[in-house]
Amino acid sequence: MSDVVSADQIRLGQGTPGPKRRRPGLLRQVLGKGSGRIGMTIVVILVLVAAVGPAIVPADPYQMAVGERLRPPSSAHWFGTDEFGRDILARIVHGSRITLFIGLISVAIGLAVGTPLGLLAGYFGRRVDLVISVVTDIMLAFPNFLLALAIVSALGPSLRNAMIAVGIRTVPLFTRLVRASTIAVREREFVTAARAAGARNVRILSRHIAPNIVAPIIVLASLEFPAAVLVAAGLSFLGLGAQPPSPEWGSMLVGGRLYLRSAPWAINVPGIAIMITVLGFNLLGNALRDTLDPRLRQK
Amino acid sequence: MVRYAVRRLVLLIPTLLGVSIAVFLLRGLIPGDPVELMFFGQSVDQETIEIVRRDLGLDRPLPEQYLKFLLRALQGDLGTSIQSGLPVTQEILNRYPATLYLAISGTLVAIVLGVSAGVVAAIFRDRLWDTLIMAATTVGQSMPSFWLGLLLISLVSVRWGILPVMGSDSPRHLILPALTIGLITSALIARMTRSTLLEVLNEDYVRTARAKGLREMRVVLGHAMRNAALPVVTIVGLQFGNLLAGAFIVEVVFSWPGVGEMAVTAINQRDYPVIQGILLVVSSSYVIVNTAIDVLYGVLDPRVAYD
Amino acid sequence: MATRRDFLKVAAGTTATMLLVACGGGDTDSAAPTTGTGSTGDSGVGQSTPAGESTPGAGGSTSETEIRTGGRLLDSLLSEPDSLDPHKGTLLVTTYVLNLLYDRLVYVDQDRQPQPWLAESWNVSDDGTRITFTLREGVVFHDGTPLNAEAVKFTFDRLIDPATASPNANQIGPLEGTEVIDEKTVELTWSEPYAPVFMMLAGSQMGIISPTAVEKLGDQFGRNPVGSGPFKLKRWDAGKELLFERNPDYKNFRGDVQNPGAPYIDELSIRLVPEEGTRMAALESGELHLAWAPVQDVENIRANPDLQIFAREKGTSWEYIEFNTTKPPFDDLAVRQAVGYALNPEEILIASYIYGDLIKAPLPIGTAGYDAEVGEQYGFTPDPEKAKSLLQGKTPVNAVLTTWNAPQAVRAAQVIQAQLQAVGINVELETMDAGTFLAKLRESDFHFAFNRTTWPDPIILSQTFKSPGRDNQYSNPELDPVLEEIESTVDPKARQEAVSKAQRMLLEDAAVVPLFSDHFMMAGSKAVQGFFFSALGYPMYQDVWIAES
Repeated sequence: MSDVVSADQIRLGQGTPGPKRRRPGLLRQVLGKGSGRIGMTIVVILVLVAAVGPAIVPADPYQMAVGERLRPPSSAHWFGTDEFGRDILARIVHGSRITLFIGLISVAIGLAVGTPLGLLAGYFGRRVDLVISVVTDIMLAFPNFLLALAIVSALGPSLRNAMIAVGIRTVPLFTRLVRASTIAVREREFVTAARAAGARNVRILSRHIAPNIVAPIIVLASLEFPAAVLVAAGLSFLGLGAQPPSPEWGSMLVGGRLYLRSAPWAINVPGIAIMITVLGFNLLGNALRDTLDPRLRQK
Repeated sequence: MVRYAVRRLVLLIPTLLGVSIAVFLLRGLIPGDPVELMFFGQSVDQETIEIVRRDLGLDRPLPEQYLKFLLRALQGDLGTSIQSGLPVTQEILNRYPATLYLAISGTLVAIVLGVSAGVVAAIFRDRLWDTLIMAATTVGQSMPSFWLGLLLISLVSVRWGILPVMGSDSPRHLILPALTIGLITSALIARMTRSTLLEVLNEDYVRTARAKGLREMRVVLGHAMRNAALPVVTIVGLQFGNLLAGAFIVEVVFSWPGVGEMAVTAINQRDYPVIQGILLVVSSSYVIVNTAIDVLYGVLDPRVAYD
Repeated sequence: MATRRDFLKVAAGTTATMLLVACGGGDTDSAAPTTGTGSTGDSGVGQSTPAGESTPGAGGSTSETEIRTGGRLLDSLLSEPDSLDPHKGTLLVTTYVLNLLYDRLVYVDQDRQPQPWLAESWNVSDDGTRITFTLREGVVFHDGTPLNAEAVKFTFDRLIDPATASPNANQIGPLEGTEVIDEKTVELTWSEPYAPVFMMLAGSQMGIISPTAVEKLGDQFGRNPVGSGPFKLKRWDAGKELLFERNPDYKNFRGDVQNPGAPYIDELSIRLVPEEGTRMAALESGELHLAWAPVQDVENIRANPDLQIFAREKGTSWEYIEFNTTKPPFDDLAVRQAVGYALNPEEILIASYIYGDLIKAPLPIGTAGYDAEVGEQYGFTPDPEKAKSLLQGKTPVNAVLTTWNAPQAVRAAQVIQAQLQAVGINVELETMDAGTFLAKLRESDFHFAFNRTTWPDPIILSQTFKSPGRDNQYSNPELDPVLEEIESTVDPKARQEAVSKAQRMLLEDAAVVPLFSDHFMMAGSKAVQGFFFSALGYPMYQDVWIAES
């Protein structure tokens, strides 16, 4: 997929001095921006839909009714029915969980693997850094969609493998960002002071460095989340992601794409759902970045 | 400066080696024995399988196999397609120009859209136009490319009948796929243009220019833009590399005969030599493009001091 | 190094039938709705060019219309042919392309009777094992080589030569040898009578090839084919387009084709357009003259004043479930039967191919020998309760349903998945490209499969179900002799008995669950005149011309 979020574009955190500097105004600042407000609203609604939607929507997302196939939106089926007569609303609502799950898992893999690697590389430097950086560079050498494609083609097509693939894809992004941020913080007075006071590496890393690199990580995570959703949808489009009868939005789009003329809702509803979700996270991520990027804050 | 460029170029070698190792190891991930896969569907006795295994050197230790793989690849031999029986290198060479062509055109569209959106947004900073334009590019960025492509086809080609739907016969065929790619990738360029412009606009010489009474437009275009170009170039370079692979889905939607379409077909046919070949070629060119951009960046902007 | 084509040599051994499997959209047997191409029904031997008064083929042209020559016809296929060497190519799409390049000894008319083509007449020996063909004079290949008895001998010798390892060799049955009698007479000898011999000889993989070209080109012949057909290959852009030009020296000897000479169109472009939406849009925007109709858009096409549908009902392809009876869970007869009763073929059809005829007996509805009575008596009717009782104590059953990646097939598989879920069979879907799918069946690397095959002769049953299992590992010692009878019985009545018996036995053993025979759907621009399908289902382009639009 062509959406790229590179660690290069997130140059923040470097300008924030002091240990444990808290940002009480972060949320307020993000919400102070129009785009941040819209993004946050979308994300909150999405989470609500995923949490309680399936309990509220009466229709079964898997129940086929071939006689009712490709019905336009109506009071019985708000979003119409798909090529098997399944209720699209029910599938969208159930599918929202999968979408959130894809984003969460992918970002979680990136965070869980990339953060410690980046900390190690940035903090210890030298050989550790060299090894980790070379591996990261190699992973980044694969254009991001291609990497996911290669992994799935080897592991076999399934939602689980798509999530693993998308997750692995985000690892080097986190590693590189965390490494750069760590290097920026490493030589600060408060770290040198702690080191001079005889603090152990683990303590310095966890108490002094980690809190100071949280901001860029949050921004990257918020921007990688929608990217993961799009890559997973792309994999589904190629038949390498979620498999039927899963109501994953990408595969709903794939199923509906043949009915663009006769039943446009079958493709447009999941298309719009993906777009709104990705948009919400992008807006939120951009607002976060604008808020946290010191270079933009100066007037 | 020169040292930086040399260092980047030297670093290219281990990275490319790493890429080749990763591609080589991918075969290990694939379930099933590669030789048995080759004979998939064919009744062959164990003896033949052993002979082929020996012929291919698959009974040798991994490092030795890798060396062989590397040496062959360096000589332009990426093996033979299981499906067509043709050399993989030849098949990729047949298709790669189309992908490059599409990636370059998509990038150009993205630059034109992104830079103009970014400039306008910067001029109208925090006013309605800024918000609208940035929102529009973000919406574009948020659309799944295949959905956007299909919508464009149904609207522009079918309903209005203006542009062709498929193939790569003429420049007109290029417009829709390039537009799809451009719309989706322009957001980042727009954002980068806007923020670097704003940054530059705050600097002293620009303030001076403004104080001299130059019109805002001339300030932006004449002075600020020149200095804002570098970060934008970086982003464009990164985008271009990704487009080489990112165009895969767009190629499928528009029946564009590039490596992307070829890769998708090969995956469906489990034609692993072809998949490996494409991975190797596309990621190598990606690495090379990125290095070139980095070097260019270093040459143009001496302030660059990468850690 | 072995290639996928190599394995097809051995394994695809299954004639056109299997080749015709899977590649969605295709079909055999005859004719566009308005085909009026005369002169086929009579079994008169030896007619050459049809009389001028008959109307040119299908497509709504009238005899008053003056045929417009020239131009390039823009056609499309879903996927790329594998090899244009008729002894190597195996895919359905390949057979269409081979038909443009290579003429055969005989063709088959709408009544399934053999008619003279390159052979102007023939003689069958009393015991039915020898056929002597008398060839037309003056026919030459595209490279100028004369098409004589030597060329015919070369073609069939090469086909059955083990060194060729042709996957298509078994189409010719137990052919033992060929002998040149004189310049224009050649004799083919079988070890025993081979019932569908003319049907098979009419297939495009039995086309006569140029010996000089094969010797000169070797392995490259498949990319640079040389035949004697109405079109020559001009250019092949991998993944994009195959471009053909008319053979200006072509002389037509087929009775079902009106045009006595070279094709009317100058060039025939076949674009590769796998994506259905793109294909449909290209038809609507006029970028394609012809394409396999995406079934979901057939109504839109019919409603479009610029487009037309060439459709045929009662087709010679069939969609069915086949089981791997050698391993669980479908080694259990009751579980197989449960699948039969759990499925509702009508719903599957509506959601997948949309247009088709339901079948209960295991043969395409338009194939000779389809026995509706056997179907009624021994076939399955949708009865989920019965399915549940058959599965008592066995649920939950877990199984993988394998199919190929055409949209219709994937949709059918999804409905099957839902219907089986309802009776306690948990189904996981597995889809792949057609070639890989067929290979998986042959390897018995599957639980059960949604499959589609096409052929107008019941020989399809023996190719699919005879031991030792070429297409799947089904083996039934009682059925095998019956299938052998289908192969070698020439007498129509006795053969029909064997065909009916085989259908009954297959149903009794629940080796297969027949679902439906899909209709054949081709979409075209209204400007396309004279297009029709031959009795074996090949798109025919010799009569095609492009009207001004």
